[in-house]
Amino acid sequence: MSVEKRLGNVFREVFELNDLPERSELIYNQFPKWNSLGHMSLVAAIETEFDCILETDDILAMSSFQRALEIVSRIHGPS
Amino acid sequence: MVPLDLSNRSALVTGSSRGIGYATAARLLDAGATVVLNGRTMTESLETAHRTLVAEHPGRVHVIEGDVADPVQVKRIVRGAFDIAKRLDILVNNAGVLRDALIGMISEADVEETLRVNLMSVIHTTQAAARLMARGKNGSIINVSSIIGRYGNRGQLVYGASKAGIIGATLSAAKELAAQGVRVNAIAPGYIRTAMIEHLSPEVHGQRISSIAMGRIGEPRDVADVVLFLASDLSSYVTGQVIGVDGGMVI
Repeated sequence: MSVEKRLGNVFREVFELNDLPERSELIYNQFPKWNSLGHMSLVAAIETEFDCILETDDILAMSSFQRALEIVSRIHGPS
Repeated sequence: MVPLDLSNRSALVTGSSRGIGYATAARLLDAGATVVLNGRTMTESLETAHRTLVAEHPGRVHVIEGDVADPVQVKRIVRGAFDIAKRLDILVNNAGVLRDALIGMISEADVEETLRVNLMSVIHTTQAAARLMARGKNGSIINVSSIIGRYGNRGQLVYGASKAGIIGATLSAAKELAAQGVRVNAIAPGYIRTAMIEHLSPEVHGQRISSIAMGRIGEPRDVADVVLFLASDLSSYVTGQVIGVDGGMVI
C-alpha cells in the first residue's frame, strides 16, 4: 500500500471519517476536529503507522494533508 | 493481574546509577517491569548498577547513556527505550544535580547547569515520551521534585526554583495528557540518604533529623516505593499530584 493511501487511512481513523474528503479541505484548524488536540492524536497515529518519531519542526509544519504527505514521504520513502 | 505487577511494562529511569534512581529501577524490576537505566555517561557507578541488576533480573535490564538535558539526545534515549520492548509505559524523571550557594555567590554556570539537568530535562523527556505512551493510551510519568521545591530552603535558590518548576510542569502535563491516558505526578522527597547529602557536617545532619517528625533519615527505597505506587495500576485514577516522601519533615 502506498504512503499516500496509508496516510489517508490514518486521517480517516483519527478524524472518524467514512471517506477522505478533498485534500484541499484537510487543513489544520479549518477541518472539523483538526485542532491542537486532534493534531497530537494525528501525530501519534502517524508515528505508529510509519514507526517513526517526528521532529518538532515537522509537527509544527504539518498544516495540511499535502504537507503531511511530503513530510512522511521524506522520512519513510515514497512507498 | 495484581495491580502492583508490572510484567510486560517498560520503564525508563533517568539518573539511575545510584541513590533514588537506582532504588527505583530495582523496585520496578522487582515488580516485573523491563527497565532502561540512564546516566549522562557510562560511569563506573552506572556500569556497576547495570551489572548488579542484570545479575538479579537477567533479560529485563538495559542501559542507554546520554544527556537528558540535551533534546537531541533525549529523542535517541526515549526512542531507544521504546524500541527495546516496543512500548514505553513508565518514565521516571530522576536525573538531577545539587549546587548549594548563597544568594550573590551563585555562578551563571551553576544556574544554567542546574536548570538544564533538573528542569529542562523533564520538559524534553515528557515531550518525547508522551506521544509514545499515547499510542497505547496508557502511561505514567513520575517526576522527582523535592521538599525544597515546595517550601524552599536557605542556600538553595536555584535548586528550589528548578524543583518548583518540575511541579509546575507536572501539573500542566497532567491536565494536557489525561485525555490520552497518560498520568503525570511528582514526588517531593525530603531528607534522603543519597550522595547529595554526603558533604553535610554531623551538626547539620543532626539538625535535619530533628526537623523530621518520624525522627529518621529517609532511604532511597522509601522513595522508590512511592514511585512504584504511581507507576502501577494502584494509582490509575491519580494524576496531577505532588506526594511528599519526607517522614513529616518541616523546613
